[in-house]
Amino acid sequence: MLRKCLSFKRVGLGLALLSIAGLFGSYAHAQTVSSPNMFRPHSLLSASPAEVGAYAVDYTSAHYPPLSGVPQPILVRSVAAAALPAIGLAKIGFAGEEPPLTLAIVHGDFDLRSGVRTRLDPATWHWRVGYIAYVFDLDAGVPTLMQTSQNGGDFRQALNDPNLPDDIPVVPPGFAHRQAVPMPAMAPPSSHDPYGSLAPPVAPRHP
Amino acid sequence: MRFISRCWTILFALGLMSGAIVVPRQAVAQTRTFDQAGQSQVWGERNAEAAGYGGSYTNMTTPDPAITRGFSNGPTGTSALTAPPFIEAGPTKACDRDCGLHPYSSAENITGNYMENVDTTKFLASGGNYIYKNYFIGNNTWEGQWCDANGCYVLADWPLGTSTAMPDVASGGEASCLGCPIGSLSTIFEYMIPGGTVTWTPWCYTAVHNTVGGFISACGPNQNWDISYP
Repeated sequence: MLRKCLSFKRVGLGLALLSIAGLFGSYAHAQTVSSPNMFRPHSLLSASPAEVGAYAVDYTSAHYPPLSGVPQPILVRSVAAAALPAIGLAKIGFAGEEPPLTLAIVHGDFDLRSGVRTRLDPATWHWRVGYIAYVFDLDAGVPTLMQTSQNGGDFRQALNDPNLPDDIPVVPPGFAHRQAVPMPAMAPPSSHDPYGSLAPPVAPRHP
Repeated sequence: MRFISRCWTILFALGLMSGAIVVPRQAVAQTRTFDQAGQSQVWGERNAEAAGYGGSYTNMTTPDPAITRGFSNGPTGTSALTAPPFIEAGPTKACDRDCGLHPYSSAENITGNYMENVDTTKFLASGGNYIYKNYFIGNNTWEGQWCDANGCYVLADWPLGTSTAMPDVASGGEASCLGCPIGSLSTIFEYMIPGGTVTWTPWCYTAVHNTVGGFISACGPNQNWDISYP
């Protein structure tokens, strides 16, 4: 049976059909994953602010596709992690040595749905936003912090623009539970491990 | 006709074995509770405490699926279940960045604006166990943390705009698209903080959220379960 199946003509026809099936299969598989991301990160240690701004636009376009218009970098500046809360952004920490950082805010019309770590139904949050703020780790050439704002209201301080409008909740929070009792924030580590080092695993333990 | 049919069967089998024919993973039966961003999501969750939850804590191993884009995460966190806000922390294979294994925290504030931080300065060991926790620290701010054998570190202080305990606590795995692999992870010593208290309390899940038919084991005696969607 196998010998008959593998006769020259049949093998040729079979291979042709297999190729078509393979193309179809690849296409079907491609539909199961995110849209292709061809962005190639690289170090930005020697990049100028203009180059970091253009890089931020490229990163954004690769991960959060613009729905209209052309994205523009509207702020690019060096920053230290400790300075972020003073300009209205989140406080972030590093376990390793802090790398050189640059804040870049990009303005446009972005779709966040396919690229962010959220557990929520997009019908309930601002997946379409006009502003994305990144804090780039210049050594790795990738963002560590990313924050978004629909209308820019969350970035008034960072952009020094008091006229940026508020963001309105898509769905008003409906929970009616007890107040959470504050617990102490973590103190910064007294020393940092080398940048890029491997974190030693820890034996499982209770709080 | 029967001969031709057998030939096609053999050729199709060869195609499957060679990888030339790929069966879409959406073909797997799904038990979706509600649409959450079109991701592979397999986790255990609990919303049995009327007071809500002011924090979550877990020990979790690091999933390392064979991906080259997007991400795979092991989130533990609290949320308003079907709407903002939420906060979570865990390991991530971040192919939306350098494809390295890093700790991360993400959140949405009460207006529904999204934020995330990936600590790119440290790499996690594939399969290695680390501790992740989130809790309210006052001033409408919630903190995501992680620990390795050298100590514990802040991932981010998220200004969520609320001090109210959240109605849901969850722990498991997710990946950046429906059908994308999560990998395998184990979680143990799951704790939460009931609203109105500062007491870490062990919990087991009372419901499963599973958008892709992935594996989740029963909750064990150490508040432990395994997740797999390779």
